[in-house]
Amino acid sequence: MERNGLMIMVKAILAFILAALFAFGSPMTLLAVGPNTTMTFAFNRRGWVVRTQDAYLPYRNITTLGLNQPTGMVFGNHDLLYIADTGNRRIIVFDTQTEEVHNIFEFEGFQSPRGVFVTAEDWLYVADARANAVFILCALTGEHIRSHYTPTSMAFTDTLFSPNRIAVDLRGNMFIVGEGVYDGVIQLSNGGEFLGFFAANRTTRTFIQMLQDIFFTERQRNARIDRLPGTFSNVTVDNRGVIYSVSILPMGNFTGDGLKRHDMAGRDTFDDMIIWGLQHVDLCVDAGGFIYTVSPDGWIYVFTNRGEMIFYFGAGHLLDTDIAGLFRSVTALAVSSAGDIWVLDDQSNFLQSFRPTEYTRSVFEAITLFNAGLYEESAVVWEDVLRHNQMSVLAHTGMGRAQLHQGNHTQAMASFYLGGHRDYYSTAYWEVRNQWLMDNLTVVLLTVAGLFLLLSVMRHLDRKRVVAGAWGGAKAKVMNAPFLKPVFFAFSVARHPIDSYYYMKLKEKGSLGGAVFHFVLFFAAYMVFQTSRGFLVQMTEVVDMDFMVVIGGFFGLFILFILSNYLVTSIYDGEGSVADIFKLVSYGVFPLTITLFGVTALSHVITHNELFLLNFTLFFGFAYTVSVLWLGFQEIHNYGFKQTFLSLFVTACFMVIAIVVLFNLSILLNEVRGFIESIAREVYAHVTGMY
Amino acid sequence: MMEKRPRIRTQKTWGDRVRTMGDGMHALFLLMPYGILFSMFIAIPTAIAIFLSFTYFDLVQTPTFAGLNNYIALLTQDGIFFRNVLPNTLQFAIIVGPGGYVISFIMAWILAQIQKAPRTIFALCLFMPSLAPGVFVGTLWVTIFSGNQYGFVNAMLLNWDLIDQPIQFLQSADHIMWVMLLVSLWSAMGLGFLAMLAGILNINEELYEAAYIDGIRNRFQEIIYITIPSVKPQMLFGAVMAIVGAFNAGGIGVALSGANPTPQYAGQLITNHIDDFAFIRYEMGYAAAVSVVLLCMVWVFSKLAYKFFGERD
Repeated sequence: MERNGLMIMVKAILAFILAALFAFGSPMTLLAVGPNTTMTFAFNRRGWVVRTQDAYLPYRNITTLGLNQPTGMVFGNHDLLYIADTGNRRIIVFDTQTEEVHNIFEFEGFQSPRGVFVTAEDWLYVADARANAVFILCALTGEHIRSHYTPTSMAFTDTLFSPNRIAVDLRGNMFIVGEGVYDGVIQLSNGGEFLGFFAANRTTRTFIQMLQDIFFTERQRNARIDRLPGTFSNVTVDNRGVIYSVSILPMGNFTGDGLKRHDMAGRDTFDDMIIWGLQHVDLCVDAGGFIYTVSPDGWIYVFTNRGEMIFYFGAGHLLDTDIAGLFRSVTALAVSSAGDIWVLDDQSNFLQSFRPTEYTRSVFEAITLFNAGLYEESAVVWEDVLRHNQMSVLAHTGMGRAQLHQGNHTQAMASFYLGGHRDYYSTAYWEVRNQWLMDNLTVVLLTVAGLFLLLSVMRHLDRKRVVAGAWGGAKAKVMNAPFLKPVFFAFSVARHPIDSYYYMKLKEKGSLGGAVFHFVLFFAAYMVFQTSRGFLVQMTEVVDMDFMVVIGGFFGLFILFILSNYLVTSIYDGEGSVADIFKLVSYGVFPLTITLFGVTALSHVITHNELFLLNFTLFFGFAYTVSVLWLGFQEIHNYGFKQTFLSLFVTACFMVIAIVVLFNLSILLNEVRGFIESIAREVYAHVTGMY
Repeated sequence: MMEKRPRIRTQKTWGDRVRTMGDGMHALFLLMPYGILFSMFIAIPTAIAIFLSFTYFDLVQTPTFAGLNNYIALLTQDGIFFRNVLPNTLQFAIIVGPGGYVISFIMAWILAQIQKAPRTIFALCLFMPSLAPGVFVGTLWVTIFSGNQYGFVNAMLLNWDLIDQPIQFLQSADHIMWVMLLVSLWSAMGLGFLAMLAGILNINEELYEAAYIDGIRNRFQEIIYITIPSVKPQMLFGAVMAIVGAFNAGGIGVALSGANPTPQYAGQLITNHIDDFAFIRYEMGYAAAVSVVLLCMVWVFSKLAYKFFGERD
């Protein structure tokens, strides 16, 4: 049984969440299980997949059609469902409203009809794999119109023409998924002429394979196992003539080819698909542009017309018992004009329908209204969705977008914050900030200019430097105060590291107290940076943080670094003591302390537009600190460039080894503890006689 | 305190006055060539630009006085300026200014270590891009980054199967900026580089020998203690040139993309913005106001350069 990577990921995340819930006894465990055999999942604002309320409920279950391994299914006009009953070599026309068989087409050419498609003109296209043909019938009467067999074009060469699935665009061009064809979807004109292969899937390569391609000889390259692209599993055309496809991708193929919407050249027009490992067998696009796909084990995904996943639902495990909503092997999916999803199972040979809940209908309505440009109306409906589900990321984002279009930027910011959508948040915040700048920038600039003018006038008047001298004297007094002097020494370390470290080594300047002060300051800066950056760059929220790791890691690494550096340098002729190294590092990180404070403050007023400013500041701060520390090590240990590099490299190695050893040690100690504990329990049981 | 001279004459005669005036005229006369050229090509145009920035002027009608309106519009209504032009210019200047400066210094130092003949050839090669930037950008880089499969980079990437369709390096908002940065850094070895090379070559060799006797041990210390202090004036010159160059660079994005504005304003620098308003929209007053802002920015950053590299004593 093939399990796709996404499901495994989802399960892992679910397991993690469950574990977290049990561990902390969060009230979220109260989430009730609906009267439903399926579960619905959606993204939350952190981008995790979480359980949400039911989007669809199992509705009708049709077992009386006498199907035999049906493979394809599509809605025609008037809500008639055309089912390719492959095993019985016929097409069943099923009326979903009366739930009666409307018609049965048994054309003599059928050998294994698999794919079906109905055009607006009521032409029924049937892809027959074993007959190697596409049959066109009248969808109302079943009358044979014409057939297309293997194309004779030179370009088609000797490719096997074994049509599995078919879709037809508004001009009558046929898009055929052929058995064993890797070149893409076979495209035939309305006259049956071969137009070319459409939209081939891509292969992906690992880094090693990439190197192999560059360096291998021709023979080595040929001896290698073929790398196959994903195979198309289905195509469809929406009511505007746009072509969509789903593919089954081999393991490790991360091309995003699972679901594609094609332009006329066959390129994928969904650039940022959120779902990667999609392995689906059928898809359907409804009149509103919503996309539905289904996996063989019955997970149904619903996407917006922009390729964003709304939610997915299903039971996720295959059962032999017949329970509504569970499947053995799903082959097809179709969506009626009322929005009901119909799903076909080719092993249990039944039809199952799902009906959207009120929640789903609201979501769809809101998205449709927004796409039609009715922002205010969509906001009203989003409000309704939020009444159903306050955590709905989609609703918050939708609300925000509507507010953005209406110009309520502050509210939009709040909505995007709740929806966790940083790009839109940045856009909204830009507008808010721009408004503020428009209102205040002139005043601020004039104030700055005024102050500047005032200062220069004062400097001009104060020729005899009475004020300046007094100011300078006061400054010097503060900076030379016995307990503040070692603190301010950090400035001189940052500005003249070589000289300052030289005096520090001679114990003329700087003190242990000052070093401790700067270490604490650095820790404060680190914590502030970790916890209170602006929303745009604070990727992990404070509530999700493991403070044991954040704080323990900081102190652990710091102490470990100082100790290992001391141990390493003491056998490498280093002259610094532990206290020296501590002072060196604590004073040396001062530029980084300032940078972290500054970046944290800055992150509250920037948008994605100015993100480079933040990155650059951070980079510069790091680079500067590393240079200062490097010079410090040279000076304190009296090293040259090479020795410094070597000692730091060995220190890093030593730290890695120490961490591994400590880790192993803790595991061993745990074992020992368990061993002693079980002995104690044994003894206790024997002594008291209680087992 | 100087000793007071006995006053000989309490009053200047007419002759004295004429004579001293003649001295003054003399000086003025000697200053004339420079004074005329400076005012003609620098002082007067700058003054006119500052004057125009307070007017509305479309090159056809006489300028009408508009007060601070241009500046207010720039600060409050020009979304393109704040959303694209200012961040782009800052990013470009921050990376190309110091980056190009550091590269120039390193290159100059490396070249100073080798013999004369190869040094001259290499120096010429490195300086070449600054001699004819338009030609190099137009022929070399546009070909290298061309957006079809014949562009060198695209051809290579396609050849190695790293991409499946050519990347529009010069026409896409995602790529134009870093191509601009790359090309600018490549052509950063300009006058500043030549000045620093000359400065490094002029350092007295005995200084190094003396320093080695005094206990420096390696090339790094050589640079820190001898080279940099000795070429400080040239480095200041290089820094100012780098800053001015980085802020005034504007042709590059337009030359690469072939259009002003650049794709989605992604490579729009302040100079392009000025060009856009001055020579495409003919809003000279507004363009002048943006130029004045640019002037202020360059001035502030040059001040900073003086603060860092200038002689303190």
